[in-house]
Amino acid sequence: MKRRRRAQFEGPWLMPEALLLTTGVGALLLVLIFASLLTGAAVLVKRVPRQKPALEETVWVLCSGGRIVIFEPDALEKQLRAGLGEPTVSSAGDWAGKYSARAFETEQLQVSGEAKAAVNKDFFQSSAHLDVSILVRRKPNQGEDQAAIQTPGSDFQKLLVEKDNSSDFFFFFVDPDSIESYRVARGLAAKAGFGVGWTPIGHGEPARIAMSGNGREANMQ
Amino acid sequence: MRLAGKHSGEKDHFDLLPLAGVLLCLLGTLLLVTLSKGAIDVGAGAEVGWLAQADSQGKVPVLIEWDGSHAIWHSSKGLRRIEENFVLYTNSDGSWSRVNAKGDVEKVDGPQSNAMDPLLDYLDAHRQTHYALIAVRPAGFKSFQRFAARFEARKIEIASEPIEEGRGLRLIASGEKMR
Repeated sequence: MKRRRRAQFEGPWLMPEALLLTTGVGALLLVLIFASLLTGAAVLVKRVPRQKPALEETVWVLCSGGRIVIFEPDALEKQLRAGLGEPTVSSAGDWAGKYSARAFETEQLQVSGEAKAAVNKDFFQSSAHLDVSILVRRKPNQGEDQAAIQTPGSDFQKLLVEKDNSSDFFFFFVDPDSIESYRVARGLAAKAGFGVGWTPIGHGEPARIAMSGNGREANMQ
Repeated sequence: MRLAGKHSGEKDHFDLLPLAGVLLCLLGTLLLVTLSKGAIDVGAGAEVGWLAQADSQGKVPVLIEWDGSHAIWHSSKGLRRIEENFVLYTNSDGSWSRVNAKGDVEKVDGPQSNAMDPLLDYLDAHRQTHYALIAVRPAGFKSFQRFAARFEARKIEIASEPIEEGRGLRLIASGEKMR
């Protein structure tokens, strides 16, 4: 007796490529979700040192426009003072005006002076107080950027070799547009065993270094 | 979704193309969401944890964010946002002077209370064991020296560090286990 064959039912047929694709994407998705959950609460750890007075000689660094330049305030101030002579009580106001009008450029920097005179005169005695500062700006396209700083043989790395980490420390003026450059340079200096310190400056503003009173005191961290 | 059953003799077929399309769209969307979240978490939006460097004095840092107009005090009671008005009172030989936001000085009878007082009083009272750790946002760079002067005027020890705008920040206890 012949049995009539029943129509055979076949389940949903997935193409092998689609099956492979969906399985692959699903696995990838699982991995990504897992990684995302782990990193969601991740924190980047930074060690933040406290500030302490610096006793060493200071190496001054200006970070702006994503670049850094090194400068020596004493040498720059000497150029600003050249030909002005020493101020006296009677000439303090005039001297301050002339100093403030002075400006010059180096290969990397624009430098200008800023001075204010306060004169006290009374019947018995006259005195004058001078607040003298130098203002330092980086010239466009001058200085080393992040990549250059990290390149062996860069000016900054040469300086790290030349300086003595037992007597010198690095102090940075940092514009908000140069936080990363500052971190890179500071990291290299700290790695080389130098003390480091910093102060923020407003965007586009010059580094202002007071050359009188306690203005040049820099703290390191 | 169109589910079409075809009866062609001995085989039943489902047209799976629409189903696969919907599935792939769904997976693609999930992938995009996950990648975006991952990028935010490890990219610019990642939180930064600061671990205060141990020293011989073992002082405890008090984290304060500075954005140019407000100080955010990370206190044990949570975040406290304090407006800074840059008004400073100074005492010289028993007479009080008030330095306003523009830097003008005027004689006054005595100091007025300031929104920053609770923070400064706290740090002043714990001067021997605590110090101010100031996170400086880009908007706070210009006025940081004036802000820091408040702490320095009361001989409160400070440390500072730049931090990018919008980046989350928290202090990590030295014994905290990192993930």
